[in-house]
Amino acid sequence: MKEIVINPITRLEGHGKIIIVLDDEGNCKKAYLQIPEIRGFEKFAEGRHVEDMPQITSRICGVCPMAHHMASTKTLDDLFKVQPTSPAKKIREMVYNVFMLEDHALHVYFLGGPDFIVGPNAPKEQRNMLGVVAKVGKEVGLKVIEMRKNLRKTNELIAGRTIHPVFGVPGGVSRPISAQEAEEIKKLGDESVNFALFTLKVFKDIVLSNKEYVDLITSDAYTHKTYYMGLVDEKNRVNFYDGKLRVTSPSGKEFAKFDAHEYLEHIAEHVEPWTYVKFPFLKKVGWKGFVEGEDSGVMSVAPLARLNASDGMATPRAQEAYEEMFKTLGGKPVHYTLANHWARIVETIYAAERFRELAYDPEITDPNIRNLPTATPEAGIGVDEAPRGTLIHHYETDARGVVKKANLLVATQHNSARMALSVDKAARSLIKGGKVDDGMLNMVEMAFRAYDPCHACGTHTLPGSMPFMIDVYDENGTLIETVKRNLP
Amino acid sequence: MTKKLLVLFLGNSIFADDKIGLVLGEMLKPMLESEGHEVEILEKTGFSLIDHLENRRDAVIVDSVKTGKHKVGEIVTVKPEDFQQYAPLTSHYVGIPEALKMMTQLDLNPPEQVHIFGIEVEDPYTISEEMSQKLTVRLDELSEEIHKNVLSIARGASMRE
Repeated sequence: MKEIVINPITRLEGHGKIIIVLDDEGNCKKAYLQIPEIRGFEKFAEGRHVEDMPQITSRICGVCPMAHHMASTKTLDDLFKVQPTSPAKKIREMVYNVFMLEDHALHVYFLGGPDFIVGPNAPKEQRNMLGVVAKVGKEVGLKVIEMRKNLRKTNELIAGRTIHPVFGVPGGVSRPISAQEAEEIKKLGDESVNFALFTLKVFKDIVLSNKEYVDLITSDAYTHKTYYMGLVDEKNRVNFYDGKLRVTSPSGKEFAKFDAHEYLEHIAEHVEPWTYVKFPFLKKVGWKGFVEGEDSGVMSVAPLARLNASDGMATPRAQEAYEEMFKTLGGKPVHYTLANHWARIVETIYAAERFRELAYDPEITDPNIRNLPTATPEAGIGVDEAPRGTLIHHYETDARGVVKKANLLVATQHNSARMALSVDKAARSLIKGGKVDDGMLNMVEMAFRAYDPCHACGTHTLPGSMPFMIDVYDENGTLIETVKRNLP
Repeated sequence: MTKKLLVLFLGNSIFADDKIGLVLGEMLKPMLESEGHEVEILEKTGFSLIDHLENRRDAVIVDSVKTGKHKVGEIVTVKPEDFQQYAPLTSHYVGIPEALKMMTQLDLNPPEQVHIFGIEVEDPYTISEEMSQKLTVRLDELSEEIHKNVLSIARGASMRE
């Protein structure tokens, strides 16, 4: 069991194991989502030079390396008590929005997309990215591939590498952008906004025009009333790169707003014996178990949470999309987990618009890209919004800058309690009479896929298909059925 | 379409044996490039591989693999069609077969021939800068074998011209 849970699944994105306990009638009594997340990085970091952390932590996974690189770079700013120059900050934010745009596009079209674009009940042979292309057409498929390729190229140009960037340094970035490069970047900025708006159109045409899909999004099986957290700017608008952490309650009121340095006052972690992942919760509300509501400290991060925790978007077309989403879904806050897909598109538009704004900012080519650090390091905390939620890095070093302690609170962890709730609720709604089939498997997967969880540490794999296992137990704890996919 | 042979070495530098492709890439890159081949050492996967494979006539991929059916350090030859056994594809992950299928579906000029060499490894999951002893002692032989295989593929490719 240990080998199955830990070994075969840790290098793949979105791995998991679900245990379903049935009552005497064969109905789901309880479902557990087990997520073994490698937390060895904290130990791995000890004894390393802290300047290496942006490179080391970007290897935590191949899906969101930029999020770790940036959080780590910001932690170095704090640790060395140096702020980036204004051009460097803009370059960082621009690169970060390019990354968010590319990553969100990946999820919209290829990870979450198959559930809606192809359909949750479509034959499993079609429920993948090839099915998406078959549904939306070759031209759209090429457009997505081309856009993502150009975005990766841009970040490779500015950040040195796409998957493990090497440009963030304390107090700035490692290289300036030339005027010639800026011209190319501007063009891509324009194309990006068109692409993002096109993506919203695709979503409206295929998903929102289908009553069955809208009913599914708003169904009770995928609804939880929890707290929400996300980074906001000074006007409480969504910001991926910087700001304060804002928490709103299940009724939509501001519950807390704090600087990343205060995260330990607000966030604690609960441990369960049946999973390796910890469950962050709101300390001032307290851990009351896997329950929702105002009295439970369970919170959520990621696109829907960010939109719920904010008062709006900082760019015009994203703001329009934001308003339309909340108006259509009955106002703020929206508690439908599957609405994450829509929220992700609103954020895609914001990322594209912000990218374009910064690409046209004349300061982007200013060669003043770094303030050299001079302070003796001690401790630093950095935060950003990864595509899948709030990411916090916290390092302590000796006076030479050698890491003594590292703490990483990754986005998927913040969602872990709510994801456990989601899987349990979806399984209870779907598993009746002991029947377990592929359709159920997908509908249960949809409950956590909407969060875009990222448990990966690997950057490549064979066979290229996600191992997944569901154990079904009767009330007495006897294993009555195991559904396996790509596991020995 | 370029006729220059592309050799992709894939891996993850922070996992013990999973870095074998990268290590072999570093060892073989100067020699292979001096022989006129193009070498890329990548910590990438999925659709990003399309960027590298597009418009190539022949490509070689060297990666780690853990089947449990071969000795550690053995080279396992995998043909793209072997991936059929893993169908249906899932929406979660994009690997080499999905990237190739996507290229075909979108007419993105996938390579006519893709040769995949998997190196059977012992421990691809532990975070470590060191590889397992069993694999480390095989490095020179592996480097030689992969080089031989690449030369053979290059000869075959030139005969098709």
